[in-house]
Amino acid sequence: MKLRIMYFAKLRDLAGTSDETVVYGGQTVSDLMGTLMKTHPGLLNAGKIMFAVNEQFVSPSAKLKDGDVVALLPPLNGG
Amino acid sequence: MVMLLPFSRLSMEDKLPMNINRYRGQIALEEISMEGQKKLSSAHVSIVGIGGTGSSAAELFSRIGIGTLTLIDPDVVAESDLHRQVLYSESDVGTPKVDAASNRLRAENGDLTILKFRNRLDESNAERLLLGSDIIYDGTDNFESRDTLNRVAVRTKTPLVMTSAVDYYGQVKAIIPGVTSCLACIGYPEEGENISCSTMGIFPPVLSFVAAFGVNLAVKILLSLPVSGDYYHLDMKSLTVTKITARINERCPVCGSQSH
Ligand SMILES: [Zn+2]
Repeated sequence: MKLRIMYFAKLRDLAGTSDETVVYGGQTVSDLMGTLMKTHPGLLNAGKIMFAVNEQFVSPSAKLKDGDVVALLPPLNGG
Repeated sequence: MVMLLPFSRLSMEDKLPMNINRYRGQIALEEISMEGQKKLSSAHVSIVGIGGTGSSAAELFSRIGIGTLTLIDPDVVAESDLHRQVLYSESDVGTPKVDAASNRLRAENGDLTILKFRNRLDESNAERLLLGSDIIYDGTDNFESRDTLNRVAVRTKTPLVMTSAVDYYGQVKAIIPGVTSCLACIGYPEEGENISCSTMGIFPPVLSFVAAFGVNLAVKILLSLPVSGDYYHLDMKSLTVTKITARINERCPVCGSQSH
């Protein structure tokens, strides 16, 4: 399946891109993270990440389908 | 420009809990009007953490005419706070933030009632310190305090406006127990490595931006205007605001049906 991945805040810097299309053979969001960390090793330093698919928050066990837009956001803690 | 209100909108009651003239600029707004201003002037907002976002929010709440503000913060003002924490002046360095903030806010609005607690909020004191709040404003700077606020808000059925910021980015979410999702519903962590504004860096305008956004949500809740639990990510680098739908998670460990 083809997915569009969007990186927010510092994840853009860690991934080296804000937006990309990937061809993915796995099933869940957490599997996808494993794949993305291989192509963008900087993401290994990302800490906690929140996931949204098609502009809605999902859990890491959520299943993906062709054409999904996956957004990765770091939860901010400062203030 | 100050818009003069038609006399009919100013003569609703003899005794009003606030100085109408002072607020006529915002009473002119249809969503606020006289009725809304009365709601604001009788409202009690608690601000937990009066640092970057919290001090900007406190100033907006005070000026807009909120009746009672509770300020909760354990810290004293540091010189390194002055570039971003708008309530404090050079002469406040070394003074408890709750004292410096309440002096400043009282000078801005003499009608304001202020309750101040020089405490770090935690599970053991949260319900006592937040007693009577119509809204809790989250100005904290770490995952653990936000988790505590989220749990207390859900338990006491008190609306919470979460704001957070670091670097060029901010995040804002309303939590209305029984109506919207909570922080745990969307996977916001209960704990984790805290990256503070002073170590990671913070672009000061993002704090005012985030606070204005959060105060806007709080005022809408106080005025009973519709507010969703959507999550807003504010980005001052790319000049974008992204809204992400945040539905109630039935299996949420804090607010879900299986948590009771
Ligand atoms: Zn929840």
